[in-house]
Amino acid sequence: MTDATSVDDDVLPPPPTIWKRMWSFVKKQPLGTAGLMLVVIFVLMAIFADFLTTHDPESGEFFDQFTRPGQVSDASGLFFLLGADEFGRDVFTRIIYGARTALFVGISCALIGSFIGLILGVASAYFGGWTDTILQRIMDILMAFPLIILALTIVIASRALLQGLEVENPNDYSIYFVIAAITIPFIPKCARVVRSSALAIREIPFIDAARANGFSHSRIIMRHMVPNVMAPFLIMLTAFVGQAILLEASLSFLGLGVQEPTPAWGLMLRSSQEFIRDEAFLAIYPGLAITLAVFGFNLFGDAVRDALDPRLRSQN
Amino acid sequence: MWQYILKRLLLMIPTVIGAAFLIFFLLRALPGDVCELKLGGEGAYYDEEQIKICQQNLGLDQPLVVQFSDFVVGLATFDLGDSMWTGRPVLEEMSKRFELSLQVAIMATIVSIIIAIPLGTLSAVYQNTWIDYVVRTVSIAGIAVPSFWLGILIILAILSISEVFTGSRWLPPLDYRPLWEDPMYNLSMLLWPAIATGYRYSAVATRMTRSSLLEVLREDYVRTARAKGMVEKVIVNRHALKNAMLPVVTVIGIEFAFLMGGLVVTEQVFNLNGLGRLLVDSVTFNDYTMTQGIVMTIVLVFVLTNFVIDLLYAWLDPRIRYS
Repeated sequence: MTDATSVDDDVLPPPPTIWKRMWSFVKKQPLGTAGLMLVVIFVLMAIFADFLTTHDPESGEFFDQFTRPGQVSDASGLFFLLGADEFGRDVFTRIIYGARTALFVGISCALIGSFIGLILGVASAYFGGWTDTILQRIMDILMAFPLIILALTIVIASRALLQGLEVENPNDYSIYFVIAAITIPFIPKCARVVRSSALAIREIPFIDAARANGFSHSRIIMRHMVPNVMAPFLIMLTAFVGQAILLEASLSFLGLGVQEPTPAWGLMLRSSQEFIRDEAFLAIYPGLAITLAVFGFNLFGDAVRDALDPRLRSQN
Repeated sequence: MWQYILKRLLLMIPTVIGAAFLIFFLLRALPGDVCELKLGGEGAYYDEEQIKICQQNLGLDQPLVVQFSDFVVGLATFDLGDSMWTGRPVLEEMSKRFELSLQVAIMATIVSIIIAIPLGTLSAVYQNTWIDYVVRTVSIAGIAVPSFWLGILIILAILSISEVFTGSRWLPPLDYRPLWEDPMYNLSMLLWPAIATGYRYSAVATRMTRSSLLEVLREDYVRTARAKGMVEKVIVNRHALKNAMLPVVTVIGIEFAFLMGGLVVTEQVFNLNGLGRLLVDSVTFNDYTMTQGIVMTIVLVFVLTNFVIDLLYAWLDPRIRYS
């Protein structure tokens, strides 16, 4: 009796190298690659902001006020690539440093929000019964708020909290509350999606086998279930980054997000409004930065979704 | 069917009460007091006596349970109390602004339908041609462009175009007049925010129209129609589009619910005295009763709209049955 596996070669072809896999991603997803490139550019901007700029992002000289883009200020002799704002600060420098704020908020909100959502979603599906019912009702309540409304409410609550704690410079903490305000609405969104995938995983016998082995709940959840719901998790994670950047910009634009003098794109647009009649250039570049960053993350996120979820591939 | 509607309506009650609970305790149970914020907000001097009087006036000296039940009973009887800032009833303040916001929301939805359905159809019919690529880029960009920046760009465009044609710079009027009183004036004011929000919201609907139509165009009955020698235009418009509209209607409905929240930012850009503006102002002034009132109104609209969409979905598609 011949061994069926020893026909020609029972050796699998070597797994594709990381470079080959990257190349196939580039070929399959040209738009996603463009998005990834935008993302990389913004990440580099954020990391190397100190080396890319020559001006101080948080303070300027009043006599450089409203220097036009691409001009040298008569008063100080400094060059302003994208002009100077109402405090004489360099717009280009503030946009570069603004990438730091935007990406810090965007990435931490997406990571924390989707991670908590992942754990809650999987736990909800794994335990079922009352745990599931109660968790789902709580998610229902959080989902009853439009995103920005819930974020706004958390911002106001956090201000009361700061007042109660009597800290010295409440504005220094604003960014952390912005992160909390954006993260919390993300949790139920991710938990929902993860839960529905996890429900299917729970029915597969290997979970029963793990239980029969006497593994603890947390081990089954973390080692056996979580790895199997990575696809929806990663899809939500990448989709959240763009949304979080947009939300942070919106909150800052309303004056309820990051506070001056921190360089933030939404904040720059907020102050540009006052001078819109004569200094239109102030309103152009920060908006362009937000759009490009969100565009990049969205394109990349779409590509990740296409690559990870074959069911959605045909639709787009 | 009726049983399903009743069940859904009843399930909404705990959700709304839960939302009220969340809002209430976010604003009240954290350390820090409304009165302290109100009196000491700008670093002003105040003493304990003033705070006590303030708390008594606002009913904050009552136990939290009493305060909360008052709030929920007030919600059920549509009595949201008085604004902590202006002292006038919350409902009265809100009703003035609600009209404006609702009009912008409806206009924005119309704008997004006008953009989305033709563009999505073109994109599907000419799949993988340059038309398709242009439409898809426009719609992905729509999701990325912040509506407040688009609003600022529209204002800039209005300023420079009016300067070229009339010699003077024109800006949309600022004070609201109802549509039926002065239609031209009203539209010249509200058209721009509707376009700024509508374009953004059209993006999702465009993509949905495209993918849904692509699916329908592959169905057998469309092939039959083609085999009969029917004109392509008639096939797309009469046969395919009708069936493709179902998910599009849902998406547009969901967006309408989101619009109520999304308007917060747009109203700020165009200086509109709408509900969203009022919310931002009341958040800025720490006006807790007003914030609660507006947030709960938006939550109610949101939850109800989602419910109506679910019903509409089944009504449009007889294949879907409730269980």
